[in-house]
Amino acid sequence: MKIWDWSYVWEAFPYLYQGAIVTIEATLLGFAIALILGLVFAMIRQSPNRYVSTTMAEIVEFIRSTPLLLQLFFVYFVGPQIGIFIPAWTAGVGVLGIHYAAYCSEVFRGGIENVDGGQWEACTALNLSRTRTWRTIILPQAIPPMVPALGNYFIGMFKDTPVLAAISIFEMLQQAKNFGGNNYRYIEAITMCGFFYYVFSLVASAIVQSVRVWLNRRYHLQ
Amino acid sequence: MSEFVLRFEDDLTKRPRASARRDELDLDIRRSEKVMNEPIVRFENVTKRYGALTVLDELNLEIARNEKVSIIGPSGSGKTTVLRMLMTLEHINGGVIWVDGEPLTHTQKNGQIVPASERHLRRVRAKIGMVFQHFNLFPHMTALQNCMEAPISVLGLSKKEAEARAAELLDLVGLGDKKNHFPIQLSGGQKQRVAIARALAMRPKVMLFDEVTSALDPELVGEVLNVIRKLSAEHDLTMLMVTHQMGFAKEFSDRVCFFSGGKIVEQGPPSQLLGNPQNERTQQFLNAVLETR
Amino acid sequence: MSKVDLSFIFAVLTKGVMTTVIVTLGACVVAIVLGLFVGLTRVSPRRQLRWFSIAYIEFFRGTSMLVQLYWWFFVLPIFGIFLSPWTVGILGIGMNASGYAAEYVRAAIQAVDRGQYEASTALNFSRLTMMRRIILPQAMRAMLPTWGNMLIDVLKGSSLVFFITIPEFTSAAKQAADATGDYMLFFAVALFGYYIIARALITPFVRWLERRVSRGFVREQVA
Repeated sequence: MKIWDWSYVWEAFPYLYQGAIVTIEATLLGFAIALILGLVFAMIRQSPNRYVSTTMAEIVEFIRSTPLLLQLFFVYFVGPQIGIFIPAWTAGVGVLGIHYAAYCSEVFRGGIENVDGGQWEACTALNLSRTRTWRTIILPQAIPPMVPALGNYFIGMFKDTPVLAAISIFEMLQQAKNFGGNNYRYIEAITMCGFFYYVFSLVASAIVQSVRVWLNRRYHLQ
Repeated sequence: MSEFVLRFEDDLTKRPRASARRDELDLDIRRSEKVMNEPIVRFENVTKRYGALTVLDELNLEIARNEKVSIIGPSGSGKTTVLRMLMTLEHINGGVIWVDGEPLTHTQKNGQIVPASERHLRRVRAKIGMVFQHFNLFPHMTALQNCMEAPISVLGLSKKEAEARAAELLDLVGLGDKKNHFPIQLSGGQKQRVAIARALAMRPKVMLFDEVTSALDPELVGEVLNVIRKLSAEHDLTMLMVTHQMGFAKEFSDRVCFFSGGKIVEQGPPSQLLGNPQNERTQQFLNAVLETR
Repeated sequence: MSKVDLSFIFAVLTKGVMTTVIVTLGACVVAIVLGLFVGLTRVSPRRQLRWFSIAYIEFFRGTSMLVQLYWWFFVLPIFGIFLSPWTVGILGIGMNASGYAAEYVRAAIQAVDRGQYEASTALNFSRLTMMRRIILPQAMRAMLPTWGNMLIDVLKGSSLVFFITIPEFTSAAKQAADATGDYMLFFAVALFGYYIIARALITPFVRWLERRVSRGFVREQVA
């Protein structure tokens, strides 16, 4: 028996292709949710009401320190018990989004707090309105430094998608494992999966890098 | 001569690495007579470039034993680079620096000059000490530990010897009572005095001072300069100092070099160079500096 | 729910927690040891060592943790190497985390002020002494907070050994929930269990370590 058999690579390809589409869709949808929800979390954390902001901080901390897999189980299995049926796909993408929203909210918060305090004072001194301060002064300085961290979480989410297999979503790695199980040949399919994850991370970080450079040039930072 | 200098001499026999010590003794015996008349530091056509920018252009500079030399000049004139190259913090792109009769970053091998090994570098570097503009104290060590670390791990002194030496030097710089303070608990002037003691603990023959008062609040400049004054009056040390303190340069140095555009434009005794400069650029610089006072 | 059920479920959950804690601790040790080693070789002056560590870091960070676990679990037997699920779990999670740890080590070392390197050169330290006495103690302080996050990631990652048939806390909770039908209760118990391990054990431990190594960085009383 050959250690590496190219014929299995071609045979596994259609399976992995199907899985890869599911994986990428889940990542893109999940990350969109994470960005929007993360911003909401970050704004709630800025709330002047101390109870609201500490509760939000604690919720974020909670989401960040419990496993994604368990959160997935919780949403998927507890729903039916209390009479709400959530389809696996919705539960999977939703939980990915919520989980990473917690991380993103920390990035947003850090980015905004990192803008020099003097900028706020200058805006007050120039009598700029609050929305204008945010839109033209604060956000253009806050967003570019956030891009690398958000990019890392995007890639991290991509590499976390195999967890969805636990609620029988057939993403790429699950397809590879099924293929391996059917043919008693794991090496090709699983290695291809690993390779694909790696290539995706490289492409994604290249994109993130160029977005960062573009933003920095656009706003003349650095 | 003070006790400090006596100890300085017997340090050579205390070096931990037998082979390094033998080299040094051999060299010393071979060259003993003429050595004392030879300059301790000699820059020979030294060139330094950053990309297309030439920072130092074929510099030639000799510094005699125990000479005190001040380097002045506008920023970007390459004056700090001179010190940093001598401390091997910068690569040189051309020429040779001689320290105590030996090439600093090169060795002679079969009549050819080749880049030196790390071992050679460390042996020659032992003759030089440096004090930095931003102190660069080790933040996780007390003042005493800052002064003890290198004597223990580089010179191989015992902990007791190193502690005695460090305590003596901290007394010398007037910080005997701050021995167990961490850098963050010291003022800028105190930090810089610890840094001077730390460099002296290695018993260098040449001390480099790189704008040592530039990062200090004005009222703290005096205490640091006093320490340097005391050192130069009481000890045999070659000192090379980049400074913006014209008054101090005048009082302290045997010679002042004015750098501009990577070259020495003018040099001479302080009274002449600072009092009656010949070169137009020196005049302009001194006028600009003195006007701001 | 009968009494027998309850004690059975309690036993399953306890065993699950123990498994999770053991896998987490084991993987942390692997991650810290390998991470320090690879992180140091990453800043080595020797090019071959740097390349080795770059490849190592890229491999373990670039491919998904579960891919790596499957690789150790399903692929290595082809080469005649049979690792127990436990070994796969601890080594697999630990090595995955070590890729991240190595990057933290590198970043922390490179973040140490350049003046510290220059002062070390001026005082004629050997490279080894400089690293050991001057750079690492300062880098340690800078990397500890990131290590705290890494430890929590390892704790969360340990739930993935579920996929290679080790009954750890998450799968124990699922087993208990499946048996009783009370998903809400058991998953909530598990969620809070993880939260407590993270917040009551790992975070205070890292804080304590931070205080221990931050000597000299904060103003403190001198006798």
